Amino acid sequence: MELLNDLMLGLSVAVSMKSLMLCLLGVTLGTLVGILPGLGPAATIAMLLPITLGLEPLHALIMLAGIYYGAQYGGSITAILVNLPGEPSSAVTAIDGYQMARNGRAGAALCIAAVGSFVAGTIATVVIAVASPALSQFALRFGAPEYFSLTLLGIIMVVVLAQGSALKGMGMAVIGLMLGLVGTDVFTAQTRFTYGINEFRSGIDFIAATIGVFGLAEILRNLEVDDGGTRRTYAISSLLPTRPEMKRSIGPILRGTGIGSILGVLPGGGAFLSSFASYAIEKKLSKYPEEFGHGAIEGVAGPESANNAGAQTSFIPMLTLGIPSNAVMALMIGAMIVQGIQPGPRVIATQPELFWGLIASMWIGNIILVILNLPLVSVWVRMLKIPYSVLFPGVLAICCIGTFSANGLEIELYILAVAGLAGYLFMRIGCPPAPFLLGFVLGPMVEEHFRRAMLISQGDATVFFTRPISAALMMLALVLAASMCAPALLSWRKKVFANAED
Amino acid sequence: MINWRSQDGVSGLLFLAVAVYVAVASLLDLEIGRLDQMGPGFFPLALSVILASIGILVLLNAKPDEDNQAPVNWRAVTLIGAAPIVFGLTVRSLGLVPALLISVAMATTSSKTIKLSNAGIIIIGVTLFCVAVFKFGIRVPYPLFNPRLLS
Repeated sequence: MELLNDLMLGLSVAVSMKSLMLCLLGVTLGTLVGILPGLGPAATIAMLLPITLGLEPLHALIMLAGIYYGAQYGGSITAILVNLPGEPSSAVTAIDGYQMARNGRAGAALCIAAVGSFVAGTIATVVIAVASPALSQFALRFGAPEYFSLTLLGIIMVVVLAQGSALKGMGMAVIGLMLGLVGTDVFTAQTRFTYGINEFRSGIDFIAATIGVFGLAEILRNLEVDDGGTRRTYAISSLLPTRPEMKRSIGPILRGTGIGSILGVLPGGGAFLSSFASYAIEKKLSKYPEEFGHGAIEGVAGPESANNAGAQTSFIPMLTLGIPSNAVMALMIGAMIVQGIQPGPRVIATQPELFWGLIASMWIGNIILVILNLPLVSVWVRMLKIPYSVLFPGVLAICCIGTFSANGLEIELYILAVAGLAGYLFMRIGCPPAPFLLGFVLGPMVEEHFRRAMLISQGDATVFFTRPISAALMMLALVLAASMCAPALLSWRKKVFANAED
Repeated sequence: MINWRSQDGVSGLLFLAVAVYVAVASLLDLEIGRLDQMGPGFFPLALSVILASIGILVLLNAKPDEDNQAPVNWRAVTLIGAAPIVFGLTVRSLGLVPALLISVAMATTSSKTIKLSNAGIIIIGVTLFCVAVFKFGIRVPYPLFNPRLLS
């Protein structure tokens, strides 16, 4: 019953006019960036962070969250109609979705994708509502050693489970941690690595650095292939799937939701891994495995449900533990800190309206998305024709003015430029930017927990292994780190991500 | 033999360079302390040791690049990299509108596919859009034109 009361509280704040408007704005923008290739949710959320500074924390989070799960819906439109994943997590949808479009079943594929996403979003919302309070109760007993171990585990999981070289990912995480240390040391009040620049005393600005690494660097990456062409799309005839199509989709949608809900919680999992796992499983279970790759509806229903479920449950570790599981969640943590909320297990207890309001808004957002995606799909299809050469000058302008409007400091524009060039260098040499962002956000916390743990234990480093919870987390982290070198996992990773690049 | 110009080669060297720099800076400027009484330099030094080991591992495991990347568009890198700096230099001295016009113009010249006539439309359109959103939407407190410039 308590759960029901809490959800009612959430609904009551989520249906206020302002919450609804910002939810609508968020999911619309999300759908848009999901559709437009070359503009991802991480870059968009980073660019819009400055705009949300003037909003209440709840409203800011509602909008930013909407961008993330809205992008999962939008990504499927591009994947199905032009065979380009607007979003990495829609990459597998493109395989069978595009074939369906070639067979004249584009409308059915879009419909199943939207319905599957909606079912997944609804179930995942319930999962968050049930799992989060329990997890945060558990986490409230954590002390500094447990937190340090947990953060370490989180970073290692992101590195191991995310795309790209694990070793380089680890290096990027450490560089991020280092950058997070710039500024005043909380224990001694001594400044570190500030080079006499006053603005650096409170640390390198989070907004400027992330807009650079994600927004600006992405422009440079996209301009490597500088063509002004537009994309050809397939026409949509009827949106309604046939009866056998519907029947074949029920199983994949439910299984995809389950897979996504579980993998989404794991750091580094999230939407991307979920959709790949779901596709592999559906291919194995299907009665018609030969149809996969030639327009099997299961190959659309499963992954699309899984990526939306995963996108939503990846909020669980962020909301309950303050540990981001991917780049977007790291940005959400940053948004909370900028708004003056300390992320962690206390958020649910101290900010019930924020927590339950955000959850309720996710469900409302999913309803809005179904309406936006199905009847209005022809509007979105027209967006597909926007060439990138029209888009990126606007993106650049928003990067600049957004960064400047956050604090009104010119130096942050210079940080933006440096971060953008650095981010582009990272991309060129195959160093993933997500672990870097994670390290950067978590840097000050990791150091604080470590030093506090050492103060309590009087310099006894075994404290991480003698306290049971911390020991379990540490063991898990060590096993994972060691398994990076295991040949079995290496080849499995290679296989999973080889599919991704097709 | 390691190919220093490969992705892995450059990454490893980058990690090593950052590690050495942070280690030297921490040792020179910051108090390190002991494990039971850490100074401000302890954590940076520890991180740089970890980063250096990762850098060496990356170099030892360095493989040749698997796929050829598209060549770097140096024109775009220069212009897009400089645009925020120019924006920063002009936003107070000239005002929001000139700063936007100049930086968007720099962006449009970085792509070879934008025709001159289209560029004009994009520059004006983007500037109007940004002014509408930021000046009249979220009301940033910066003037559109520096008043001293007009008088």
